[in-house]
Amino acid sequence: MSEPLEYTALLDQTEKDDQVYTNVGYGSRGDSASICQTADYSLTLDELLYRIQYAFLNKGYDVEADVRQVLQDCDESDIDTLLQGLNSYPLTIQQKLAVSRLLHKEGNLKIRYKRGKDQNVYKRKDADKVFTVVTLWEDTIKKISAYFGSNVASYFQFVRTLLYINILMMLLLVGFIIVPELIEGNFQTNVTYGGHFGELSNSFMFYGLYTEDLGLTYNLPLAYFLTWLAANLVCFIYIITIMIVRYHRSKLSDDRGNEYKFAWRTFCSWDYSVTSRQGVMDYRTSLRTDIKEMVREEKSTAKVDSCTKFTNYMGRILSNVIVLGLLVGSGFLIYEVAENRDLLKDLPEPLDDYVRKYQLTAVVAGLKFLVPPIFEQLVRLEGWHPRIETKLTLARTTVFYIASLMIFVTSLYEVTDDCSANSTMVADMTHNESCCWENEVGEEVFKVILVDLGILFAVGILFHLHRALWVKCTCKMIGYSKFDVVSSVLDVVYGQCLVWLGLYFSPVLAAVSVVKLLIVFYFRYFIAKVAMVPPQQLFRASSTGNFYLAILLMNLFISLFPMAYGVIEFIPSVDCGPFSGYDRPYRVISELVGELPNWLEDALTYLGTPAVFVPVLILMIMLVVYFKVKSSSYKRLIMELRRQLKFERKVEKRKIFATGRAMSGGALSRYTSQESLVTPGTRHRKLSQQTETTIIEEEQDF
Amino acid sequence: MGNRASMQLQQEEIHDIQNETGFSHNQIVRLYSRFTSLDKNNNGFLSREDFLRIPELAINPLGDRIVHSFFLESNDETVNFKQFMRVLARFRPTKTNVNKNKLNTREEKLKFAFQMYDLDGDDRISREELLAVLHMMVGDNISEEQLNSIADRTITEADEDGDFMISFLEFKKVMDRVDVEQKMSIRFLN
Repeated sequence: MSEPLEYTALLDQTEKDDQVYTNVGYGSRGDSASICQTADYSLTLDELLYRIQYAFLNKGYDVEADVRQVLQDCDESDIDTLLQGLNSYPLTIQQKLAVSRLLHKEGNLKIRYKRGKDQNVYKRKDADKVFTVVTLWEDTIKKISAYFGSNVASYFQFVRTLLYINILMMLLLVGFIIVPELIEGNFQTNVTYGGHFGELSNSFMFYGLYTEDLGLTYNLPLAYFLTWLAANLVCFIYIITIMIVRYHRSKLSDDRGNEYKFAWRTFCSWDYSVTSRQGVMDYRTSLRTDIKEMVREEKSTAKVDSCTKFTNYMGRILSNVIVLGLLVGSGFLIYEVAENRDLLKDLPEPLDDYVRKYQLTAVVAGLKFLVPPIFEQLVRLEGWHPRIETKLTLARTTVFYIASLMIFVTSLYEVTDDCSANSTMVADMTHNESCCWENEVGEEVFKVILVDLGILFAVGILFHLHRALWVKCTCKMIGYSKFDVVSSVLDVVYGQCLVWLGLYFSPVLAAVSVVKLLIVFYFRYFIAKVAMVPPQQLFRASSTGNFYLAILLMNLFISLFPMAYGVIEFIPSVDCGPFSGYDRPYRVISELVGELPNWLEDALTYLGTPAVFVPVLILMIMLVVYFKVKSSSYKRLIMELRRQLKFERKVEKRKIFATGRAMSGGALSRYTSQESLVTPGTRHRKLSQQTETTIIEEEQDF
Repeated sequence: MGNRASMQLQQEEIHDIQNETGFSHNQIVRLYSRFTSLDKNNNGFLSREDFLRIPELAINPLGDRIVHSFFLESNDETVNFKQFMRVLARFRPTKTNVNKNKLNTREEKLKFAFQMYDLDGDDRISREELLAVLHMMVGDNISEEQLNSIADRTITEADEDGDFMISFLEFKKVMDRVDVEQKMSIRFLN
């Protein structure tokens, strides 16, 4: 080893790096005569010890400085040596204290480091990296999975992902819309909108405040529109990127013929993230249930007689009819309530006001609360396998949530035509009715979000906590509530969908969503820790965690339609908002295009026409078809290769047995065959009589 | 807390371990501190009791098997730091565009898992070994007959050459669609 060269390089490094642990091993090579050199002055440990020993002779000896010097390049063992012998050195008490303090302060990092404390809290400066990545809530999720397992922990990880998405959106919106408005906006005080939130209705929270003219430098309408588009695009890209990254990691060899159900259960079913004693016991119980169920399933195959079949079919038809009825009914109900402002007449004044304000919110939230449990009970009529039951309920609940949200938003749009029914209408001094339908829509969505949160609190506290107290105090066998991962995930996705729908009308919804997700995380964590047990069914929603993201992506895509409809179809309010002068919001873009040089404007206009648009569409369809054909031909190639592998193995076995039989018959039982099939390094084994006959039989089939 | 002069980590050792396992310098130092904190008697090596003192490992029903896999590397009753690192190296995340002479390939990870189930070390998982592992995982309260049928079905599914045991090749084939690279990876210090 080239000592001098390395040594100077190491010296450079030690000067850069505060934390001296990188010096581990430098200098002392196991012997006590450690050589610690600084660049200009050489002071070895031995030298220091020698000096300390005769320090009583040297009155003005600055032991601290010397120790400091030695400390620069030495390692823990030297510090240990120093510390241990400190009592026996002939130094004054003050000197000893000073040295001890110095050693503990400077050397403390090294010593404490060796004792191995908690890893998560440490953020060390590293010579290579500038940032250390600190994941949010990492130890909280670990604590949850210690007891509940990774299925429940995946819900919390999903909430964390959503939080990141919302933070991104919030940064965009706050930075480009809210802050400029707050800084430079001239607030229109002549017209105040009587919205549901009183004072807040006129604030930056809602669309109505943003004005058109905002000083010459910043084009707020354009910023508003483009930022909103960008926020949606960012969400798309983020979700798709995460899905692709996770998809890459999993090897999907789409070979449906090789489903090793039992082998996977046996080898892969233990959840190693469960690390608490109670959690291990609970997990074992659910594993036991799972295995028993699997064995029972194997035994009872195709033993379904016609009577049960008939009841099953009738049950399925009935429950599907009911589900359809519920969907249609709730859609109709939402529409009616949105349309009809005077549903309950003859009520005393303050109550009437409340009812009018909150009727739509109450209906939407109430339906979301009541209908999914009905679905869960209905599916029992149908007599499916439990796993299919769960998937079916999941599908129905998703459809219900999406349908109710779509109808909610579209029925809100109905208010755009009729200004007089609008509650934000204010009769102005100049007798013009000015209304701001965007504010109305934004406020309704906001209210639903808040009520959603309220229901979460109510259910958590009134239902789960009380049930837990009941079980604890009266020891009844009701059992604690089980943490239902699927419905919790759908809940959170529903909230996110609401945010997306309302984002255009109220830019602050992204920030609200961030706060809401934080509250939801901690509240659910608290309730789960205090009042819940892990779910009994080992339902693994997806192996890669893509399942929840796929639902989220689908929701985003579907909620594009009402948003696009709202932007394209409706005329913006005349008196409020940044688009008040325009015919349609996207005219801001055409205006921007209009300001560009002529040739660019012509090119862009040309791009918008069908002459370009249709061939591009055809091209994309052709590409999709091409890739699909390619992938199916690869699939066939894979199956062909697998068949060849199996063939090769059988042929080899035949050859071996042919040679084996050609030799004496008795030698066959001792023959260590399959040498050619065994990978190097595995030990050889005897073939037992039984397997020999099996192979011979198999070979005869061939 | 005792004289640690005998146990310091030499620079060459760090380099060796770095080349062999692919851990970075900081990771090796951190893991060394963990190693020494597990080594209560300052022996310079770990015994089985030292491992089982980790509470999470002690609770895990398969904890014994996990500890056993550490000792396979050393063929002994003790594990020194290098062997410790070699075993941990199998849990490093796999990067696809890196040269394949490291210990964290998919094959090595699967070999680790296989050795956990192969109780007697003959490179085959027999029915009795499967039953033993199932017993460990599930515990009591499930009938012998059910466990037997599971073990039988598992072997039937996985076995291809008809010897009623699962060899490493067959095990690999069973795990073909399982995302081993992600599930058996720990991000050390990242």
